[in-house]
Amino acid sequence: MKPSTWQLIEEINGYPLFCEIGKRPLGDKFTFVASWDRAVGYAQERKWINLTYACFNRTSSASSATRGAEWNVFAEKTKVLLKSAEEKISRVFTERNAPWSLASACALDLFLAVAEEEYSDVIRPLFFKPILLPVYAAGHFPCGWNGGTVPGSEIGGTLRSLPPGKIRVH
Amino acid sequence: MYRTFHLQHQQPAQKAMGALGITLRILKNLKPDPFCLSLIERAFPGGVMALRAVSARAGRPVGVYKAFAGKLGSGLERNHLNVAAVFKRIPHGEGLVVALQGRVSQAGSEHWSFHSSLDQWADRIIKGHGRKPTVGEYFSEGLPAALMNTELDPYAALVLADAAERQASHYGYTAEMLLDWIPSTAVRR
Repeated sequence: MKPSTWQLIEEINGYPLFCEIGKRPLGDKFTFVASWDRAVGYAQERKWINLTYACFNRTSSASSATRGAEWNVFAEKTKVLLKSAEEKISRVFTERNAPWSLASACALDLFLAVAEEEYSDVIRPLFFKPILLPVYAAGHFPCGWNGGTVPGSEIGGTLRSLPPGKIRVH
Repeated sequence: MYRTFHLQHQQPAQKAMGALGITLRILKNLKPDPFCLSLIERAFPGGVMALRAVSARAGRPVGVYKAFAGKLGSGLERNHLNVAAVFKRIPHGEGLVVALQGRVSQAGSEHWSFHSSLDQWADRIIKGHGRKPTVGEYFSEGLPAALMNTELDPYAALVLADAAERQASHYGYTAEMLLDWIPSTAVRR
């Protein structure tokens, strides 16, 4: 694992996760979602799930192409190192009675930000590190996509750029 | 009282006879024309005979996508056992298919149950662990569970999963390869 990846994991474990949810984020780069229930609804939209799948497959396919089946070993190690952040996420989602799948989707976002850093020499970080991570770092919940849809043909790892749009943030 | 008794005891038998009827009708229609023969020989190790053996053991019509065209009864759709969007090395028309009831977008249908079970299985691996499902896991866990979710009995599900694995291996897939999962909701038409 690269030194910069270790450093990022340490930073993420220290994030004040979800401490600003419901408060308006700074700047107009985001679409603000005021209500928790609406945020949970947006987070389960097909458009958002497909976008995150496309970005996941983009990074992991690039890693598989150059480093074989290393991805799963890297994932198992990193998930253990991100335990503390994952526990914070589960606590918030349990307190608010939100679906388990959403808590694990947020934990996956953090892991994928780390993966984008680790494989940045193979493929340029596109989504999790440059866009979602600052939202988590600021204590908010990135909960959806207000914009275009990813074509089905690009979900399997060939996504070149994000469709036009903004992240929904609670 | 008699009516209730009659229904309770006749329905499963009628259902079984119906399924058998569909199987026989489709098997009978699978007359191997030269195009089908060469296609099946290329697509499945052992060719037509091996494919017929799989159909008979599974009690379900199984075929190769293109050779199955127009030979299904109403309400049945061809369902790729090796999900076409994921197993891209297998040409779409050469994929091994089983006939399932209903459309993939029709909640509650066999076809929908199959894909929804696979999506849940992949989600558990990806979201739960950040890992990617391997080809080996697909054939040992994901695919048999998805087939059983369509109410196929466990024996038939294992027979079909084994046949699908043989085809994947024929096209160069190995157990440790990682799969780029695409949720079925992304490719529904």
